[in-house]
Amino acid sequence: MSSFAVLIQGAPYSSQAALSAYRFCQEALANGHKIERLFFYQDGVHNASLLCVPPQDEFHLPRAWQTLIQQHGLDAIVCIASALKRGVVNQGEAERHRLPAANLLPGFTIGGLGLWMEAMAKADRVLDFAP
Amino acid sequence: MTGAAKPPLLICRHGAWTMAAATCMELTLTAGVFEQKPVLVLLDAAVTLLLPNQNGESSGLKTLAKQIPALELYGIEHVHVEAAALIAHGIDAAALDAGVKPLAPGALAALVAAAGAVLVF
Repeated sequence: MSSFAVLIQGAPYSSQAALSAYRFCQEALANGHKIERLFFYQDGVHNASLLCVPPQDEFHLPRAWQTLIQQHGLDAIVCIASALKRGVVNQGEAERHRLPAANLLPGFTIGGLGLWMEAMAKADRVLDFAP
Repeated sequence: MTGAAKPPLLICRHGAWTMAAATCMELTLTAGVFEQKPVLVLLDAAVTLLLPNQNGESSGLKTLAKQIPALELYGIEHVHVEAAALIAHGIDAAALDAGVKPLAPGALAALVAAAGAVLVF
């Protein structure tokens, strides 16, 4: 069994990066491997948006991530600096910045880049899914 | 790419005014803060980070070139740069800071082999 730290830098529907990351994680978990941490960085933070509504005949990637995270109890961190810049906020950040709403999908957690550094140091392997 | 105690290797291939370069510098500095002793390599257009007198104000961007001399404060003593890219961009290797180390052809392989994780931007 290996442990993986997974960096997701691609937004859903903009490139193949995020979907490839999701499929990798799904297969890794199905084969008994451990996901040390998911880290959504740069445009990857859009994977954690509650407001994505793809057409009904298209794959709902943010919701699929949420299901995977909740089913396996994964540690899914959304980079705070990347998220704030792109309008992805949890309730706490929405209140702090006096925004009218929060839109972070339940299951995801806002956190700093240090958590990615920690995951890189702990995991057996590091994978970067970038556009 | 394996993690553990080996230092991360960050490779930048994009020029001084790109998000890719900004992301690479951000991760390099953060790794330095967390004492992971990151190794930074500039290839291709990324060597433009070494050009003097840059100012990103008019573009509304941070001047990434100003971060290069500050790397030492983050425990990063050397920046490895592709020697051929220096020539291609008209940058005189002799005029660069002592911390900038031109990479001979093939030397990158040794850096990759010694790295705990490799991130390419």
